[in-house]
Amino acid sequence: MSELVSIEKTFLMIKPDGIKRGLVGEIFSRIERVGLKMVAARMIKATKKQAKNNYPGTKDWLIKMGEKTYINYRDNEKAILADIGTIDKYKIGMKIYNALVTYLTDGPVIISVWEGNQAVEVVRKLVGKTDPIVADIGSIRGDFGFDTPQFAIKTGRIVFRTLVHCSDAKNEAKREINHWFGENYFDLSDYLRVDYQDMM
Amino acid sequence: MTKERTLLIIKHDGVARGLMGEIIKRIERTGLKLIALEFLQSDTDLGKNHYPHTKEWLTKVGSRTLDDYKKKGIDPLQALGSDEPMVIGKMVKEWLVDYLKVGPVLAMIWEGPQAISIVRKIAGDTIPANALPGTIRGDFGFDNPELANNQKRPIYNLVHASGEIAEAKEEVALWFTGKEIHDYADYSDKFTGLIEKISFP
Repeated sequence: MSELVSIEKTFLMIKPDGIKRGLVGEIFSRIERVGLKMVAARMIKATKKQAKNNYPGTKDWLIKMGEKTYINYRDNEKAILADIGTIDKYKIGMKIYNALVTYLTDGPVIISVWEGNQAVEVVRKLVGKTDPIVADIGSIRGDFGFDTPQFAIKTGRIVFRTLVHCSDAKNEAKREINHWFGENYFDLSDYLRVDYQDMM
Repeated sequence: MTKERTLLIIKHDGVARGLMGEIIKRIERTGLKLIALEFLQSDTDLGKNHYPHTKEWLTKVGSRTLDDYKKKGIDPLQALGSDEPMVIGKMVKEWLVDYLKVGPVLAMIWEGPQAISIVRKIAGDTIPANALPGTIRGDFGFDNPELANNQKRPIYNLVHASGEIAEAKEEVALWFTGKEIHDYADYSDKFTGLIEKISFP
C-alpha cells in the first residue's frame, strides 16, 4: 500500500518546437489541471555541452541508436544508405546524436519541475508515447504531434520533434533536475494548490 | 518596425489556482512571443522596487480606492482611517508588496509590436467586476475592493502587467537580467517580414 502513495517530483522540458508553436500554456495547463504543483520553472538556452551531456553518448549507446535505425528500416541497407548516407551503425548513431543536440539548441527551452502524488507516472501518461502516430488522443503528443521519424529523415533533420521531454523514473528525475537546473535550482514547493486544501 | 517588451507576473492566486497555463495560452495565441520565464519567490525588496515610489503613483492608487468608495457610499475615514489619497496609496502599496511574496509567482517577458497594450487588454480591468468577459480577470476574477480593503490586502486579480513603455522597461530590467532574456525567431516574425524562414533543423 505504502508505495502506492508517493509524493514525488518529476522533470518536464518544453522543447524548442513546443515554444515556437505557442504550446507552452497548453502544455502547462494540462499538467496543472490534474492537480500537480509547479516547483521550479525557467526559460533557458541550452548550451551545446548541456545538450550533449543529456545523453549517454558512449560508443555502445551510439551503436544502439544505429541499430534502432536498422529496425525502423527493416534492415533495408539500400534505403538507409540513400536516406542517411551511411550504413555504419556507429556513424548513424553519431549523426543521430548530433541531430539531437541541434534540435535541443535550436531555440530556448523551458525546464520545469512538478510535484504531486505519483507525479512521474502521471506526467508520462499526459505526455504520451514518443511517436505521435501511436500516442493516445488526449495526450500532449497525441493531440499536437505530427512529426515522424520518416518525415524527419526526408527533410534532413534525422531526429523527429516530440514537443516535450519528461522523466522516465524517480531517480532519472533527480539526475535531470540536477543536470538542467544545476546550482540554480530552488525548490519552491512550500505552498498549497487550491485542489489540495481539503486533503492536506 | 518597433517591438515592445512587457512584464507579466502571474501572482500567487493564479499559481495556487492552477491557472498559469490558461493565462499563458491566452497571450500565446495573440502571436506575442515569450522571451523570458522564471518561477520565483519574491522578497520585500523586489516588491518595494517593483511598485513605484513616486507621489503621482501613490496618489493615483489612493484616489482610485477613494473614488470607488465614494461611488459605493462608504466612508473612507471609517473604513481605512484616512481620506488622504497619498496615505491610502502608501497603505495599498504595502499590501501589494506583502502579497507579492506570499508564495511563488511566475514572471515572464512577452515581446511584439504593441505588446504592452495587448497584454493589458487581455488582463482586463483591475477590478474583476468591471473586467469584461474574455479577459483574464473577467473570466477568472471574483474578488472586490471592499472585501480586500477590509482584510487589509490587495485585490486578488491574478496578474500584474506593465502599464506603459517606461514602466515596462524598468520592470523588465528589475525582474530579469539580459542573460535570462532569449532572442529567437518564431512565426510572428515571419508574418511581419522580420525574417524569411523559421529555422527547422
